[in-house]
Amino acid sequence: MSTDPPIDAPLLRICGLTKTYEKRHTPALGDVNLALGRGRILGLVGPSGSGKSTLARCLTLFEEPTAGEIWFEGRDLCRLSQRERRLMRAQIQIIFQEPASTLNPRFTAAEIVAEPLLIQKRGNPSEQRESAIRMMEMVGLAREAAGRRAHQFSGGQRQRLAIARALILDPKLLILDESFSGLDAALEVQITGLLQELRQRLGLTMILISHDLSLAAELADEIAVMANGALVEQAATAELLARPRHPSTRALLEATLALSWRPS
Amino acid sequence: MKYVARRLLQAALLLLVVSMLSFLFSTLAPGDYYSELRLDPRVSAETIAGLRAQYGLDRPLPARYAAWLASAARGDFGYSLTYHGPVGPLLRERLRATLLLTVTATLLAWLLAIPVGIWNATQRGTWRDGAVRLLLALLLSVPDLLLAIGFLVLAVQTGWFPPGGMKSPGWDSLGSMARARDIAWHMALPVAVLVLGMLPVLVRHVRASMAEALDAPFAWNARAQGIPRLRLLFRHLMPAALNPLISLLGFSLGTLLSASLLIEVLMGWPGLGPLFLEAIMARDFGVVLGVVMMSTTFLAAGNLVADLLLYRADPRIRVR
Amino acid sequence: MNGEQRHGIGWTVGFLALFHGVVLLAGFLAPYHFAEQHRDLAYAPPTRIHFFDQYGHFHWRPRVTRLTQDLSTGGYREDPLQVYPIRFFVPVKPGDAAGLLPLRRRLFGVAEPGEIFLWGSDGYGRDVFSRVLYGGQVSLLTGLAAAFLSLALGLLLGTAAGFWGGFADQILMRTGELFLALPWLYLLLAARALLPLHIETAQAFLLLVAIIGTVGWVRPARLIRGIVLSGKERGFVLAARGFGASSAYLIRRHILPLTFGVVLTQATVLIPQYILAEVTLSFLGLGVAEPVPSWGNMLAEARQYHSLVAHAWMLAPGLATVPVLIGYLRVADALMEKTAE
Repeated sequence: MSTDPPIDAPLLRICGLTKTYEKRHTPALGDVNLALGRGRILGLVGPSGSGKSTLARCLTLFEEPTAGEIWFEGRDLCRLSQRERRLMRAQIQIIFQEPASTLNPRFTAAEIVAEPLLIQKRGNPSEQRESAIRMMEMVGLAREAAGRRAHQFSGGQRQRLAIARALILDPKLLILDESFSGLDAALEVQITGLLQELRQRLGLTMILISHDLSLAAELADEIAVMANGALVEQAATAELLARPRHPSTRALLEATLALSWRPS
Repeated sequence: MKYVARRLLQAALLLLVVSMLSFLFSTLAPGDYYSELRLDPRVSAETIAGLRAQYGLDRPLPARYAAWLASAARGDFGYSLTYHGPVGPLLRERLRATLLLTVTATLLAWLLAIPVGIWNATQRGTWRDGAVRLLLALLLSVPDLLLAIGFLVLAVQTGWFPPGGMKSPGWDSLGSMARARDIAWHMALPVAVLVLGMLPVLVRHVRASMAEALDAPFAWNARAQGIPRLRLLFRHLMPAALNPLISLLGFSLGTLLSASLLIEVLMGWPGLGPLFLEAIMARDFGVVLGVVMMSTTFLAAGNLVADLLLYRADPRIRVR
Repeated sequence: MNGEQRHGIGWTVGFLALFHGVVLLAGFLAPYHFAEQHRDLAYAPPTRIHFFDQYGHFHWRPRVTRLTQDLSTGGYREDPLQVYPIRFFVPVKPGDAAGLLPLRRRLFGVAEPGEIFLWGSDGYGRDVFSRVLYGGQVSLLTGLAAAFLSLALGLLLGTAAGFWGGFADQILMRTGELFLALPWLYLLLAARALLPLHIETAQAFLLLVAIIGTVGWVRPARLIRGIVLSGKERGFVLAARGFGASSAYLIRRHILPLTFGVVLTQATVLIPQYILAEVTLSFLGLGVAEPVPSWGNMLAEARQYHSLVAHAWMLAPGLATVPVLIGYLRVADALMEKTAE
């Protein structure tokens, strides 16, 4: 029952999403409402435990929400069959914190990037390998590196591999969950540059999850602030930074300004 | 206390289940004590049926198990058809013989292994270390079987030791000192084989945990403070090295009954080993069950002791 | 493991391979069928090989002299008049091929009625050297097959328990405890003896492998379970799940390769144990039976201690176990050191 949504409709619309874990009193997510337009980058910020990662897990079908709906391309993700889930996974991809640990050190670069194609059974082995190599080049890795094992790459290169792998299924939505923590400043600049380039070329929609407001502010068009499982404020980046309304937002802003200064 | 109670309960449960399974399997085995008898054409079927009924071999399974369990709880392990006597006393007598061997051997082995292991740990990297390790590896590679046979040949050739058995003929007429000496003389070879068999593993473990203790920061610290070597050894290093050895101790205790099976059979030592073997061949399940339960109990007790000691040494450890 | 250590282990592995190869080729390397008897030459000492004849002349082709009973000593002495040259690539007598890999030629032999007992003969006049080779096939193969079984079971059950956890895991752990409740040898004996005592060779062999292999599944299963438990939480497994991978794919592609190291180490530990288990069981009469040799039942023959010094070659099957065990032990040690790094 998927009707094609009009082009300017939001890609993602979250309605009343709630997630409670059995043993905890307060819900991890409490009635979250969010909309994200096509080709936009949303920064999702908040302190640890505010529910950002839980939201990401719900979006990527790792968790089942207790209540609410997630509308993605006209389908409610919470009401999909097993088979539909599997196919839907191709559309929403996530890059975790410490992407290096999500790469099997024994696999070669080409095997890693091509793995999603293998799992989703797209193409024959040589086609898969070719796609993988092309994607590697797109993220700035040399073709010749395709045969090297993952543990032979540097930290930044492994980040790129993770991104290449996430993109090979041509997802509509890319989520980056704290993917930048642990990167030194130079690498951070490289990767943010890469992401912006990819957004331009591929028209990617992204959600950037971070506890670091300044980092999100660099890339994101709009920012949503979470605290204690609730979405407390959402506005365009410049607006949010200039006129923060919620106390949590202000707290985040102060913390950021106190800790770092970034050249704009 | 809760931990202790829980572990005791688990051990008891384990024993119960083992007893049930052993009982079940022993009844499943083809043939019983009277199978051989059945082959004899002179013995009529009625006689056999009568014999079986007399010993309760024809009642349903759960009834037989319950009966066995009830009497076992009273210390009565039934009647042995092969040895023509109650199983209980038979087991006790053989148990004593086995323990005589294994307790002596285990004590000796540990007494040897600890100094050798410690010394070896301090000699790490030197040629002496390599030589000892090679020797022990060689020892480990020689099967007990071969060792025992070799020793027996030695005994026969030189006459220094008796070629098997536990008592010389006419033992009963000896005075108590002479009796003890006679048994000790017979024990020498089996114990030697046992000790040689246990030594490599023990030394290896002692060396390993000693080496770890030597490498630990507190050891460096102590040495830097100039604490004399012996005191360092006994008051600081050994307690630290002790923990990993506790499990090994439990293992040693647990295998007190079973370690000597082969050697007893080979060297004619009248312990639980030959009893078990003969009873199995003769399908004398009263005896088989008794021996199985005994060795399981020892093994469980050994593990329990090890767990409790570990728990006491470090309550953070929930050994599971 | 640095290059030097790897070099040392290479020799050991090579030696083991050679040893197994020699045993495998018993059909070629053994001069006699394992059951062939020479009743008039019971307990004959190892045959001396001569390059010089009684006149002191040298011959390229070595020869053996026949033994005859020496009535004065009760032993044997050489009869210099009965000389038989050693021939090579001797065709196998019809009906004489035996064991694994029976071939049509034997490496060496002598014309009848000469005999060549490299390691002497036993109480029935059977060539000990040939029997040790053929017996090795039984003992080594049992060890290898049983180890394979234990590892296969351990892999299957350990992976299931570790991956799916829950009820299956609990059952597995409890059952494992039961298997470990009895001392190993007792369990083996009990299991073996509960089955019919007199069975023919092929069945006895399979039975032995089945019992030894089944009894030992617990330790490998636990180790593998541990690896699978931690493995399934690894980042790349979660990532693959995120791409929609099925459990079968995850296990096959990502988790099983993690177990290979442990499986290999366990193999080198279990194989020597199981070889000894076969030897012990056969020695006690619960394994392979006459006339098929196994190192175990051959050693049972060696129990005549009084004459053993005079017939020291009867210990050959026991001595044969030593290099095998040393080899496996060294490889196991090396592997464990490697995985500890």
